[in-house]
Amino acid sequence: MDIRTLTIKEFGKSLKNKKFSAEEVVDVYIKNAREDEVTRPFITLCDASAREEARRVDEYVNKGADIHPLAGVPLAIKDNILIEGVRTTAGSKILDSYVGSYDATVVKKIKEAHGIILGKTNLDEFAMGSSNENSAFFSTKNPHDPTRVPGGSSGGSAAAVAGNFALGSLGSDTGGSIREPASFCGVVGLKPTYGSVSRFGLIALASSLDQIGPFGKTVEDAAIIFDAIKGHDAHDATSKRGEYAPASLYDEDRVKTRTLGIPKEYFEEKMDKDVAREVEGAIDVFRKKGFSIKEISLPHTKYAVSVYYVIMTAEASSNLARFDGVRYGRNSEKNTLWDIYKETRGRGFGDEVKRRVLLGTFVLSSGYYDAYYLKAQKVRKLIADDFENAFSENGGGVDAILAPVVPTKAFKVGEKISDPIAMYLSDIFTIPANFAGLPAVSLPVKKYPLGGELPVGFQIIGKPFHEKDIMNLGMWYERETEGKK
Amino acid sequence: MEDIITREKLAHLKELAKVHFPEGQEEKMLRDLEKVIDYFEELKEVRTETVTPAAGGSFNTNVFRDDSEKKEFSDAHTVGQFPESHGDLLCMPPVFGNGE
Repeated sequence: MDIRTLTIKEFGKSLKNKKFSAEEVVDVYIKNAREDEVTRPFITLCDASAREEARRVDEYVNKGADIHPLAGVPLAIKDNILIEGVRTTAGSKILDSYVGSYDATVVKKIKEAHGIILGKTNLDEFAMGSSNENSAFFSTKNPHDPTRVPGGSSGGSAAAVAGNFALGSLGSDTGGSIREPASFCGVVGLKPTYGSVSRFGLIALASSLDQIGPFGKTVEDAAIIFDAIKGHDAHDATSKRGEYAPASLYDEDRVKTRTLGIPKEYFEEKMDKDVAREVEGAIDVFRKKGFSIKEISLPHTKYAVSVYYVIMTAEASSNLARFDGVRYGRNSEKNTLWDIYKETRGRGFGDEVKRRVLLGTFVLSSGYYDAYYLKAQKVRKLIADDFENAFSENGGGVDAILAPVVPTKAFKVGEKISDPIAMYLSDIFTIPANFAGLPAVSLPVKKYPLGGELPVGFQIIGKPFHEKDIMNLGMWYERETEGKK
Repeated sequence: MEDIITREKLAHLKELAKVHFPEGQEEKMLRDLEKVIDYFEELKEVRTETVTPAAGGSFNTNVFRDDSEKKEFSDAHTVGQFPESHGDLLCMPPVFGNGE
């Protein structure tokens, strides 16, 4: 049996039946990660703590104790999420030697479930990028084709799952940073509703947009991880109180009653022909099986990229002000505070980070605030209203929206790195869900074996806190298409 | 159209944002910023006179917690990473110096 290709449910069953031990699993995965010189999803491996946790899991299994579905499951965590005592770089030189001083809430929950954290995955510096090429350390490559990018910014987490370096992983999504790499790597990636997963311990990019979410090989795997990390947290004032149904609980009767919307504007944008054909094929699967499908309009979609690069850079310029070399990461011999700031940040930040910090400072500066920042916040409201209208009974009346994730397949390494606008346009279909705080899952149109054709994903966008709807629709799709495509 | 970003404005932004970069990189940064700001021009065509701007990402009201002292972080991982410390205190260079 190849442990590395199991789903989380199959893994749990085999672990309980002692087909392998958790420690053996860790050995297989760590060896695999150490021998790999091509994909390189990890910045840091956590061998010792992974083995220690695995031994604990084996003890529980041997005692016949009830274990959590994530117990013993080898997982990878994006390196902008803090783990106490583990180096956390956010893909930046400015945090090259920074060690996490506490566990992020999501990490605490994974530890409580006895999931095994194998290591920290590569990302575009401070999650700023769509290709992983902005990492200050090295670029992770796409496991389907190492001449292509895995997507970004959570490219390491997507490649870890796609390349069988972990069974599941966590990423963060500010404008598509989970869904775009999921689409490029042929795995499932969920951006949860804003407020459903605590952001405590996530190194912030744009606080009004950031959400932590899972990657999995299947929709059910991603849902199992989501169910383990969601929930209210007093440390995050934007996290939602109250419980709601587990997303991994499949309810076929309910799923078949969902009305689906197809936003016409998403298909009018410039899109690669193969991508359009595959996404339309996926929608046809729902159509042929009798789902009620309506065309809807999200007319302000085309402004999403402009609005995003105003609001996100504004928030980033403010969030990144804390990286000043005073408490850690100093990289300057200068004597005055002002000079220490400028030199530490000048040496520590890469080009894309500097570009965004300067842009954010510009759009917030006196004389330009109204024309850019305030204007963008108004158009953001219009984009959010488009969704509200689509979901309302008097408007579109749909329960979920089917759409493409990215206009292209994974592009070549280096293809877009010198043209920021071309790179930014990769996010056009993913950004709107962040503006409205909606849950959205990207799932592969079909199974894409490694070494074959490049994957294409499509996304299912749902109402706030209706992760169960979109994950159930995804599970329905996987069941329907399994073996048929 | 008029140059929104000029060399002087870029120098001012660098000061405001506290990021240093060498002279040689300024030209490329200037071009990139111009390109992106130019792209933002499309926002002008959207009519927003009556729109209330979005604020934050949440639909919820704020959640407050007690303002009580708690020790959540270990000294080893916080004080231990200070570039310079005195006991468990952070040593800082002078805030005012060189006329800043």
